[in-house]
Amino acid sequence: MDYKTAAQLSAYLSKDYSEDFFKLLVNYQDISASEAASRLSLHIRTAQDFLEGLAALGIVNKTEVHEKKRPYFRYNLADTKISLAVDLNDFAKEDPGEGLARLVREMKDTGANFTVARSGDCFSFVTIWEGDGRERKVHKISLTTPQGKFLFHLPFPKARPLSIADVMENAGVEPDYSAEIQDIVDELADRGVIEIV
Amino acid sequence: MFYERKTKDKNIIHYIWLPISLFFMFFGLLATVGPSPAFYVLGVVYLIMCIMPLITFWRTRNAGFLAVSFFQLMVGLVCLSAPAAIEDRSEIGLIPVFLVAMYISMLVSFYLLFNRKLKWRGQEIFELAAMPVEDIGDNFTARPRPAGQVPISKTEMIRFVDFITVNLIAFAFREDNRIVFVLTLPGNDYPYILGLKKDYLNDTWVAIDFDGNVSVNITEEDYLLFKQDLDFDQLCQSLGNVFAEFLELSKSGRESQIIDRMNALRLNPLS
Repeated sequence: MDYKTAAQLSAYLSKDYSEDFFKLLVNYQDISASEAASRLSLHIRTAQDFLEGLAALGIVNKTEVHEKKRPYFRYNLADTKISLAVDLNDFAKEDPGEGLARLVREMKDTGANFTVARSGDCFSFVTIWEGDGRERKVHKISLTTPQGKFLFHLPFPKARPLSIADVMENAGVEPDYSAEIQDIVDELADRGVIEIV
Repeated sequence: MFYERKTKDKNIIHYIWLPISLFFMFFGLLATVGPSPAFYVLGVVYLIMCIMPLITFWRTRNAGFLAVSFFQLMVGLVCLSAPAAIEDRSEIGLIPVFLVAMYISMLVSFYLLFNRKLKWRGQEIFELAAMPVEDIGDNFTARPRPAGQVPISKTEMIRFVDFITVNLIAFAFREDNRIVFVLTLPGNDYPYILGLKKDYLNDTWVAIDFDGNVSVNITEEDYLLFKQDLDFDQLCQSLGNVFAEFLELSKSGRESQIIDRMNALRLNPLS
């Protein structure tokens, strides 16, 4: 299951009426939204949204029926067991070798503020201002020690760019930290603080 | 040695405002309320002023400031003794002694002043750092930068800190794992000397930790001191190199060469 589907399913499972809803679904052959709503004392719209959501995730089946009136839907459980498994390895940076070969340096006129850590050999925070006037927002990113060391050794704007691997080596950051280094590089590149050449 | 100056001098007003103010104050009082109040006020001002060089001596151990303080003390005593002697010549008291001491200490002070013994060397350091740097356009960024490594022992560091401080090359902040040398220009040293400034975060500094790692920070204000848009990356590296070179000279006992290098720039001793 991908993370987004798992998150949506978790959201439905965490609703305070979900347990009662599933008790109905597992015991009824099928049920309409209005029947479930009256049974659980919910607004029909709430029940309908819940069942539609579950149908979209494939947890329940949805069947259109006609009983001498306007057509409506009845729902039944697709399976009495719900498995929720997420493989977090999907988030691991792909192709780290190529990622570490990217040439980086600080972007000119970023307006970002780098706060030096007490040790003096790395940064502890990066503060980025986004927007103008009343819409201006401050985004403060707390850095891990390897990230702080990496950014401390990041080439200045217009300086000769260095590969991420070279900057890591200059900063004395072990290759084990390459994933978290790439994460901060990508984040700061998105926010216009780091330039990937 | 011929070289192209890369830093701007401070406005002359910065170092003549005090004597001009005293001059106008003294003659203003002389013209309006007479000589006695004018001498008394000037004397009190000089007595107060003589405290500042004493504090500077206490913070830097630069003995030249004792001469300046003594000169100002003598001027103060002469001014305070003068009104009585003007009214009655028999009340001359110790004025001749004060005058002789004042002239001698003045000569010593001027000698030290024009030989740059009382001058904060920030601008000279900037000149030395800027020498090998190209003008390739403004690329300033407000963050520190690592600038290499120099092997150093704690004893060598202590000796270097003492040398840098006594010779007014930089103001040293001692931290747990490193020494931070804050570059100060003449006139910008008072907040540090008086202890009003407890940190260096908004100043230009060079830090050397006890593992020998050098890092450099140059503020925008100091970057604008340069006449050209020097490559900021090269400038920071060069500033670190200047300190690393000074450290090597200090380690080998050739500190006089450091002073010679700065004096060879022949910058205005007052600026």
